Amino acid sequence: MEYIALILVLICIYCILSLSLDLLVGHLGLLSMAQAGIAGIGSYCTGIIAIEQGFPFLLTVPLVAGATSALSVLVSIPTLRLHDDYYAIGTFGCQVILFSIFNNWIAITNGPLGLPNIPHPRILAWMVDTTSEYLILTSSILAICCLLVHLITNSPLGRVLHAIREDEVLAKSMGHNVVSIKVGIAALSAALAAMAGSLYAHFVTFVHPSNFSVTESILVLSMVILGGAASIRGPIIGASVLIVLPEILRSVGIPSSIAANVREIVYGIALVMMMAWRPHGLVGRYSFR
Amino acid sequence: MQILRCENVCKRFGGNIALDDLSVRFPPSGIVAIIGPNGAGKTTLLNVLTGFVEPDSGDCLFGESAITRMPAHKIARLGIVRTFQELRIVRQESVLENIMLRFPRQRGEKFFGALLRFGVAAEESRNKGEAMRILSSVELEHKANDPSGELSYGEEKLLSLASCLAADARLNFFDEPIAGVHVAVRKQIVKLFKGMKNEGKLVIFIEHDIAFVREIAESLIVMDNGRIVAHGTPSEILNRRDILEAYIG
Repeated sequence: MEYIALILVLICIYCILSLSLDLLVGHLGLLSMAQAGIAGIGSYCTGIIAIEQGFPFLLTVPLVAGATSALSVLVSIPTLRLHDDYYAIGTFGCQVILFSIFNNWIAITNGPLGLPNIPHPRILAWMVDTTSEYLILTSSILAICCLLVHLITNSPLGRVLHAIREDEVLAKSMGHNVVSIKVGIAALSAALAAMAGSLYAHFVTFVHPSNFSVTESILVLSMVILGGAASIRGPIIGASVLIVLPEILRSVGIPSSIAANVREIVYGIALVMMMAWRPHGLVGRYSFR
Repeated sequence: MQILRCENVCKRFGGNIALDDLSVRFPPSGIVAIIGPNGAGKTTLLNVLTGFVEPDSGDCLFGESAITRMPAHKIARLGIVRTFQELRIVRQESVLENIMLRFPRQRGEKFFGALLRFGVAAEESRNKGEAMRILSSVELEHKANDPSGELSYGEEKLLSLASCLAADARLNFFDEPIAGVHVAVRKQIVKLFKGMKNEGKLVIFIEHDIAFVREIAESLIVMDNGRIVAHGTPSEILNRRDILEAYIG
């Protein structure tokens, strides 16, 4: 039971992260490769604030989300001038820089040793200790994120995002300030990703640079593409499949030494098959062709 | 009284002079055609006036607003809409959504408007009614919920032109509106332009089809090498032998 709750918590955290990425990838057509890095900022900030300042959860999360989205605005200024593949390369660069910071700024992040002993969250009088309690917390935050993303994307603003995604020049000619809309959505996406990072840090109580590497960014992107971009269900299904899949592989008795490689092969095959036969993902609305 | 003025506008692309000290004034309403050979600077003029190309020198005024170096989205908000030579519509959205996108100053397009939804539902249903009226005026109402990428070329063109009606702009630019369309769609476009004129709007279009220009334009500008070589009524200009030989053939 504890094991299932643990998997469900991870699914919830990755759902928040992939929903945040879907705002950029699915709704704005910006193929970001830095989402794990941004979640990493959230995780490290949470770790540092919680360990050194002992701030309560209800203060830490908005603080971390706000700081991360402010930082994302700074990063957005150079990257949002890029288009299509160049944007992917630009954000890939940001991801590499963020990983290097996590790994090398030892005074702050503790470098490759990681940041241990992050306390479990405390919400007013509720000390969230057990995995099932944590599941209640993460699923409630996931529900709030779903509502937020639903309100934004199923509105006239969502329509504008899709117009920008398909044709920026046309969107400008309609009177939309494309740059400020992109910066705003990138900031919102960063805030949600930071929230996922924050939940992760509190749950695992330990953060390490390898949790926020390029591979993780690609995993989150795979969740969005596999499930289906520009929908709420898509990233949720994608995250669930890609978190549960390795567990199934483990349960069929593949030795752990080769399980990791098999997992990567399965991801690769799944992604290639999706791109070839279902470019709009399992349940998505938009195709990447 | 002029609604739109350009004074001494110059634009070069490398060694090519696209606009050469061009000055022109447009009346507040009516239908104006711009013709000229390829490379005459017609589309560049339109791009300068809508903020998509920044001129090297010169001034453009829309009413009292200086629009010379204003970003495209701000110019659009002043009440200037345009279509493009290459067809631009949001293909993965429905026909109806393409029209809905054009209504100006929508509350639900603001971040907090989308989140809090005050008055957004009422605004949406009002805009939807108006969008359906626009679609039925160009006989596309039966395709309202189809993805616009599934329309035929003529229908896509009609949709891109009709969506400008939703913007309710004072000034409407169309770049080659009837290129490649069937005669039935062409009739619709004539009706659309005349409707805009009757509402007191200004329609400016670039076109190579002289018969269409003769049929609908009230005023005609002939451009060549970045300059205006003739400006007057179509009947007067299209009867000038020098113009016919040099620019129309």
